[in-house]
Amino acid sequence: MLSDSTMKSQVTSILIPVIVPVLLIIVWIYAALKIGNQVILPPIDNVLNLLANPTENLISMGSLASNITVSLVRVLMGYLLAASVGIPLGVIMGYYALVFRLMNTFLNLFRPIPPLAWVPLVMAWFGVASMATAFGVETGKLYIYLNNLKFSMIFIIFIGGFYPILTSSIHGVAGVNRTLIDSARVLGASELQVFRKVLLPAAMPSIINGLRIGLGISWMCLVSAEMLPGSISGVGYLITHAYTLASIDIVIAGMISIGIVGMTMDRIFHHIENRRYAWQRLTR
Amino acid sequence: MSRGSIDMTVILSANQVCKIFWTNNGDRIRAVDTVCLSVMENDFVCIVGPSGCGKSTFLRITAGLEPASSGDVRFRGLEIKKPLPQIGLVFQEYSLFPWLPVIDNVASGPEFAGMKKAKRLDLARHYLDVVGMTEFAAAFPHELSGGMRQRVAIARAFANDPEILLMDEPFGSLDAHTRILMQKELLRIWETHRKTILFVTHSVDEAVYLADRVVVMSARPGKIKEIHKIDMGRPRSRANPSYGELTDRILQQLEQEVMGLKN
Ligand SMILES: Nc1ncnc2c1ncn2[C@@H]1O[C@H](COP(=O)(O)OP(=O)(O)OP(=O)(O)O)[C@@H](O)[C@H]1O
Ligand SMILES: [Mg+2]
Repeated sequence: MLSDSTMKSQVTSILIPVIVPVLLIIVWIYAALKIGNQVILPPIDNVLNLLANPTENLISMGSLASNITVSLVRVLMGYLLAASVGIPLGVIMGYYALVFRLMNTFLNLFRPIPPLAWVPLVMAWFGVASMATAFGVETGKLYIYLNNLKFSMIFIIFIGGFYPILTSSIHGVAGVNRTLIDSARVLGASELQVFRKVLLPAAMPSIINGLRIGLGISWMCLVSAEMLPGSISGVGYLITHAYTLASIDIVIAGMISIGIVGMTMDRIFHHIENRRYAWQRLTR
Repeated sequence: MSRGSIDMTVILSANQVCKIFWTNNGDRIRAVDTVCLSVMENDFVCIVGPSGCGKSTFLRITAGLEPASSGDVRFRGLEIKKPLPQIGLVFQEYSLFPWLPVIDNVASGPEFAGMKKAKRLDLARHYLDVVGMTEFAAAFPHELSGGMRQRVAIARAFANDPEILLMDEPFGSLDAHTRILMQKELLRIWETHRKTILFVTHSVDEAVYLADRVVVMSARPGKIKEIHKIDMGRPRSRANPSYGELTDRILQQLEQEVMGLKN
């Protein structure tokens, strides 16, 4: 049986986060009525309708769900690439001072360049080449799928995710208590075991945090990546294309989907962080 | 329970060990100064000395974690250049793996050596029992008090079954009562498992209670000032007059060192 006060606190804890969104919706409904122009602010039910039927085909753009799926696959590819380069490199840079000195200036030179600023160079390098080009697939359904994964897009997403993952891996490893490494060595750990059994777990909370930030940024780079020439699908494409058709309801529905997907991914990470790495918060 | 002098093999020898550190602003710190020490198999040697005189540094060199600037430490005649499975170390500071439960911490040495899971957990359980931490097997280090963590660290060192155990103020954070229990327990383990122990402590009483020999170090740079041989049988009684006499002498020596440091 829940006591009265815990019931109350549960109700408020659910209520408080929804207050601002509800206010926003009220303002929206009111403003849409006042403005009365679909091209500036469509009524909320149009947008909700689009969100409620994500598999419905939108004129010449495919469905919302299919575009989100394409975007997700792109982001995951660029992001997994960023993680599989960023984590090992960061761990090694964090542990070996020499490698850090060797690489750090070089990497920091590129860090301030916004992913979007890479577009011209990336286009010059990769053009509209895609995974289909890489695998030599030229026809069929597979071609359509693979051709959606342009190198240039994946590169932009990669750049977005790479730096936060790299930095947090470096700091995670560099911040590992030396005594823990020494303990492992005294207990007979080989260099490889020190990496696997001490450095990685000790740095993992920081790495997970970087992975989380990196995924967020990768996801944000999506729209710019999907504005690249040759893109005919994805949420970013959906938004820009809907704008040219003056379908602002689709624009807003697309934006909300981006927000929801991004937030969900972040939540999942947060959950992992809290569950598995409670020791870090609690270690005195 | 006098053990006599049956084992006369030198298991550990420090020869003219010096250690110099360079600080970030280019100063030289001489942390250990020409230390020579021979430890026999099955010896229990305690090291006492003023804070900062290089005791931990000497243990780290002996454990193979740090090279000596000159001189060397040898294990059965072979120079120690890296950590050896035969030499264990209980650190002065907090050293448990915070992401592992207590039992896995204790089992980590055998795990590094590739021991099967069931076997190493059995071993870990045994040593947790020895240090009286059985009921905390599943707890995480952050759930333990400082003294409990230290006991787990000791169990972890024992579980690796080293011939020589280097211990850096292992009982520093224990309350007086637990401390005395742990001292007795350590003596029991030392006697039954026939280990060689090199034990750093700030407590002269502890040193006189435990050791076959007490090494008194001078203030920085750490030199050996004197080595006291203790012939009292075990278990030792603190009421024994020679116990008090020796404790007093060592305390006086240390006091001189600390005062010298201030002047
Ligand atoms: N990595 C290091 N770099 C520079 N100086 C160091 C380093 N480690 C130790 N020292 C210096 O060497 C000296 C001896 O340090 P050490 O930790 O061995 O002392 P200690 O005898 O164990 O002291 P305590 O009893 O307080 O633990 C100190 O002056 C310390 O500042
Ligand atoms: Mg010390």
